[in-house]
Amino acid sequence: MAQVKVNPATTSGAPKSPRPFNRADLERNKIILWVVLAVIFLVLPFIGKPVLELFGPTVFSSTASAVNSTLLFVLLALGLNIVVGYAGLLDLGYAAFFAIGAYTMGFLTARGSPLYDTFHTNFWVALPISFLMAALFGVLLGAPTLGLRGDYLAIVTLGFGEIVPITINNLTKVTGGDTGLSGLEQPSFFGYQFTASSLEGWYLVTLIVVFFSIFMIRRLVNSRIGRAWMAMREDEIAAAAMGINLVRTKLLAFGLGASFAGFAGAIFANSLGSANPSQFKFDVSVLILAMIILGGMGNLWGVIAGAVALAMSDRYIIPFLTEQVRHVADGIQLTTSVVNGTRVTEANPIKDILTNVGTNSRLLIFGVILVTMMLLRPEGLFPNSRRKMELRTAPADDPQALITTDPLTQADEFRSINYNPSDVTDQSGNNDGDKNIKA
Amino acid sequence: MNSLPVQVVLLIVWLGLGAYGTYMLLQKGYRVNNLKILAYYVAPVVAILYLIINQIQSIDTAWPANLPGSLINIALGIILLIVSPALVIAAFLLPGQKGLDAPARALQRDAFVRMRTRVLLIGAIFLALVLPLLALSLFKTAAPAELRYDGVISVIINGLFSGALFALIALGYTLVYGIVELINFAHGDVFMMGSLVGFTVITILLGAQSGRPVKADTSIFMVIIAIILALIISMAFCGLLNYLINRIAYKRLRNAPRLAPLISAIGVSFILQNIGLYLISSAPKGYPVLFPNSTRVANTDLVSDIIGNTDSLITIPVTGILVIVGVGILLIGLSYLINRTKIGKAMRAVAQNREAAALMGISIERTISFAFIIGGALAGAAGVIYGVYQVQGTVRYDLGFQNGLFAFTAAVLGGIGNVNGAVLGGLFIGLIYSLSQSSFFGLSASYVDLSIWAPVAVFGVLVLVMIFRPTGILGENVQEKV
Amino acid sequence: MTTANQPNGATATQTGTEPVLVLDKVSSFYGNIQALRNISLKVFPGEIVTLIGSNGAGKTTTLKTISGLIRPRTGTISLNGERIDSVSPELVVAKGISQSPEGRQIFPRMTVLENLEMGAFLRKDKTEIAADMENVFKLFPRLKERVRQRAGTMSGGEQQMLAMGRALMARPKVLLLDEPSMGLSPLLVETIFQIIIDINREGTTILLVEQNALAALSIASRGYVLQTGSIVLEDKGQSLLDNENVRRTYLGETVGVE
Repeated sequence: MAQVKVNPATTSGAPKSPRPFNRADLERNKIILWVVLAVIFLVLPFIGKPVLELFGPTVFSSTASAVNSTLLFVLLALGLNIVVGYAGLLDLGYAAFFAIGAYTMGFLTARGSPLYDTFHTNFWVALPISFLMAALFGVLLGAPTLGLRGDYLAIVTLGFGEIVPITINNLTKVTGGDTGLSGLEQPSFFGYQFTASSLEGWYLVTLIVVFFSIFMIRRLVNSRIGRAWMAMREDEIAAAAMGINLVRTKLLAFGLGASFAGFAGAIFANSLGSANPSQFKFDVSVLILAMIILGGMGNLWGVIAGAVALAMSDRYIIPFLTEQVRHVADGIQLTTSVVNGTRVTEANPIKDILTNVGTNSRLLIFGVILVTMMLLRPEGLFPNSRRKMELRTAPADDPQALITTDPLTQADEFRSINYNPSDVTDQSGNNDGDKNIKA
Repeated sequence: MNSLPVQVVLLIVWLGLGAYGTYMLLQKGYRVNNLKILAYYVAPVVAILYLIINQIQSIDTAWPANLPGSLINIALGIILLIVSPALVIAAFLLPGQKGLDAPARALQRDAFVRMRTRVLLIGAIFLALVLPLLALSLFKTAAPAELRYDGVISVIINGLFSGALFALIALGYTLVYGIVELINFAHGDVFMMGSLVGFTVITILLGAQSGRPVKADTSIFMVIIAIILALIISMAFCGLLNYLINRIAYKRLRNAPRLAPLISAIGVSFILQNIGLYLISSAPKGYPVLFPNSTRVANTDLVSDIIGNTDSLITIPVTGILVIVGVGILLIGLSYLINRTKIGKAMRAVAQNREAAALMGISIERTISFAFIIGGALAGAAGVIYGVYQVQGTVRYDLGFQNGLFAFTAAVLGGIGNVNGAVLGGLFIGLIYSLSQSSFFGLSASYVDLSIWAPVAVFGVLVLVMIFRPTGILGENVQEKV
Repeated sequence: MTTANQPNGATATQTGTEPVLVLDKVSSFYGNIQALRNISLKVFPGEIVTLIGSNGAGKTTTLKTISGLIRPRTGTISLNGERIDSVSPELVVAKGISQSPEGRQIFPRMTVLENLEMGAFLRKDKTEIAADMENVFKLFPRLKERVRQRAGTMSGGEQQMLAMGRALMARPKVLLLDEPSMGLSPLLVETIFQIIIDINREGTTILLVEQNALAALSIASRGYVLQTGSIVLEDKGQSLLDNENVRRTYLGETVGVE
C-alpha cells in the first residue's frame, strides 16, 4: 500500500488540487485515446506484413496466426473474467463452452456435418447462433451448480469441462469423433473471400469482436448487474439480503461468460476450417484461467494483459525458443567412424538432450511461468482496482479519496465506533491517587 | 418357502424395510437407536443371503446335497424367520431418545455418527461381495456370453482392484485438502513419477525389457524382492518430491488469495508432466511382465468349483494379489499412523482447527509437510502397484492426469478431507469405471467401444454427488465458511 | 513462590517476587489497523490477573500476541526474564504458556481423550501426563464420563471444560483463559469460575480475559482495564470492583448519574 499521508483536518478546508478535476476533459481524452488505439490496431496488419516479410517468408504468417489466436484468447479471458473475476464463481471447465461454440459453428457450416444436407448456413448467420448456443449451455450447466460455491463449484465445472469434450469425441456419428468436423464453409464479405490463410481478415473480424466486447463489459461492470456480481463475489449472503436475486445474477454471469467463449469458438473453428475435440481439453481451461489470474482477476486491462502475455508466450515465444534449441541440436554433427567396414555413428548425449528439450519443453516453461508468477505476485500483475475502491469510504467524485487512508485515521474511526473517550479516562483522572492510570 | 413367488414377495418386504431404515438414518439418523439400525440392516441382508442361496440351490441341484451347505441354509432360514423379525419388533418397541437429557442425547448422536460410518463401510464391502453372487444367480444362463456371471464377476473384481489404487491416490488428495484446503493438482503427476521410478528400479534390478516377460531364469523370489525395493524407493522418492513441491510452490502462498496455490499446483503439474516427457518421451512404456508363467491365480474360481461349472471365464491376475496385499498393508499402516501416533493426531488436529493446534504447541508447517510426505509416499506406492498390475502401456507422461482426476473424484465422492471416505470413494469409482467399461449394461460391444464412456460415467457421478450431496458420502456437515 | 496459594489475598507485588510474565509496551496490528497500543502488564507467580474491557478492546488480541499467534510490531514480552515475543506459537507453549482460546476451539472430531492428549503434545513424560490427566478429571468429573465421546458433540459448558482441561495438560507456568464464561448459563459460569479458583489454588498462575467483569474481578488478585487497545486502569481486583467508573462502564450500574 503506497500511502500519502493525508490529515483530514488540514485538507478538508482549503481547495487542494492545483488543477480542478474535470470530468469532461477526461472523457474527451479517453475518446481520443480509443480512436487512436483502434486506428493503430486496424492498420497494424497492413504495416506489419511488409515489415515482417523482410525477415523471412514465414515470419508474417506465423506471427499473424499467433496474434490471431492471442485475440481469441483475449476474448475467452474476457468471458471467463465475467464468471470468475466479477461474479466470483470459479470455473475450471470453461473450454467446454469454447467447444460448444466451435461445434455449433461446425454443425451449421461444415460439409462434413450430419446436418449439411438438410440445413446449412453461412458464417454470419452461424456466428450469433453459436453465441446463443454457448450462452444457453452456460445457463444449463450453471443451473445445477447454483447452490455450490468455492471449491465445490470448481469441481463440478471441472467435471462438465471434462464431460463435454469427451462426449463430443465419443459421438462419432454426429461429430466425426476424434477427427472432428472439417470443411467449414468460410464466409465472404463484399467479395472478400475468407480462407484459412486470410490472416488479416480474421484478425480484423476478431479485433472488432474484441473491441465490441470490451465496450460491452465496461458498460456492464458499471451497471446494476456488474455491481450485483461484485456484491455477490464479496459476500453472497449479504448480497441476497440486499435484495439481489442470486439465481438470476449467477445464471446471467454463467450465460454471458459462456457466450464470449461461444463467439471465440465459432471464429476459431471457422478460421481453421475445422473443429477437433482435442482442442478443448482441460489445459485450455487452465490456460484461460491462468491468464485472468496472472493479469489480475476482475481487472479488465489486467486480464487483457495476462491473456496477451500468456497466449503470446504459448503460441509464439515458447515455440520460437524451442525451435532455436532444436536448430542448435540439428547443427551438432555426429561423429562417425568406419569400423570393420561398417559406418558406426557415435551416440551424442548432448545432441539427444538438446533435441529432447527443443521438442518437449512447452509444458515445463508454461508450468515454471505459472509457479513463479504465483510466488512473486499471487494477486496478479494488475490487481483489481475496484477492490481497492470498494474499501474506500469517501465519495467517488473526490479525487483525494483515491489516496488510501492513513492507518492512524482508520484506527481513529475504529476508536470512535468502539468507545466514548470521556467514559473512564477523564473521570478516572479525578479519582483517588492510588489508581494507576495508564491512558 | 421354496417357491419363487413367495421368495420374491419376502425379498420385496425385507428390502422395503431396509429402505425405510436407510431413510430413517438419513433423515433423522441420530434419533434412531443403534439397535434399530442393526435390525434394519440385518433383516434385509439376511433375507438377500437366504434367497441367493436358495437360488443357487435351484440352479445347481448338486450343491445343497452336501451337508455344510444345507446347514448354512437351515441356519439362515432360522435367522430369517425368527431372529430378524424379532429384532425389528424389538427395535420398534425400544425407546427412542425421549426422556434422555441433552448430554446423553449428544452421546447417542455421537455414537450414531461413528456407527453410520461403520455401517456404510461394511455395507460397501458387503455389497462388493454380494454383487458377484447376485450376478451369479441372475446371469448364469444369460444368452450373450458377455453377460454371463463369470464375465460380470471379473468386471467387478477388476473394478475393485483399480478402485483400491484410486483409493491410494485419493488419500493423498484428501490428506492435503483436509489440512490446507488445497486441491493439489500436481498429486496425479506425483503418482506418475512414482510409476516411473518403480519402472526404472524393476527394469534395472531384473534386467528386463519394457512390456516383455522377465528373463526365463528370474526366480519368483527375485521378482518379489524387486517389487518391494521398487515400492520402498518410489515411496521415499515421491514423499520427498511432494515435500519439496509443498516447500517450493505452496508454502509461500498460505495467506495468498485462494486461487493462487491452485494455479501454482497446476503449474507444478505441468512441470512434472514435462519432466516425465523428458524421461520417457511421448511413447508409452510398460512394466515388464513379472509373472509370465501364471497370469491367473490357481484355483481362484471358487464359485465355479462350488457349482461345478468347468468352463468359467473368471480370471484374477496374480498381480491382483499384490494390489490387495499392498493396498491393505498401506491402509492399515495409514490408519495406525493417523489414529494412534502423535504426529497423526497432530495432523487431525491441524485439519480440524489450525489455530487451536498451534496453541497446543503443534508446529503447523511441520504437520503440513508431513501430510504432503505421507500423501506422496502413498501415491508413489500406487504408481508401482499400478504399473505391476496394469503392465501394458502404463508408464506415460500423462498417466497422472486422468487417474489423478478419477482419484480426486473418489476423494470428493467419499467426502473430501475424510480418510475413510477416500477409500470408500476409491472402491466406488473403481466399480463404476470398470462397469462402464464392460458390456454389463447390455450395450453391444460392436456399436461403440464402451471404455470411451467410462470417464463420462465417472465425471457424471462426480457432478451428481456434488450437486446433491456436496459433502460426499461420509462427509459431515461442516460449518460454512463465509 | 510463597504467594502461590493465595489467590484472593494480597497481591504478589508486595512480596517482592519477580513477575513470571511481563509485557512491555507491546503494540500489535491487524494489517494496518493497530489493535494494541503500548500494552504493559505484569503477572506475578500464583496470581489470577484479569483483563477486562468491552468488545474490540483488544483483550483477545493481547492473549494471541502472548501466545505468538500475532507478532507484536513493537515492545517485548518475556517469561521469567526470557524474551518470547518473536518465537513461534509452539515454542511459547514449550516455554510454559498455554491458552484456552476464545470460543473453546476444541477439536470437534477428536475424542475428549485425544483432545486432552493434544494438550500435552510437547511433553514426553508419560507418567506425569497420566497424573495430570487424572488431575484434570478430578477438576472436571464430567470429562471423565465422556472420554470416548467426540468433542464436537458435547454441550457448550462441557466444551469449555475440555478447552480448559486441554490447556492445563501442557502443565503451564501461566495459563491464559479467554472468555471462559462466554455463552454459558449463569449456573455454569459459577461452576467454571469456581474451577478457575481451584486451578489457581493448585499453583497455576492465571491470566484471565473476561467480559463478565463482575465475576472476573471478584476472583482476581489484580485487574487491568483495556480500552481500544490501551490499558487505562490497573488495580487490585477488589478496588477495581469498587471503582465507580468501572462499575458504570462494565457492570452496568448507574451510580453517580445525575
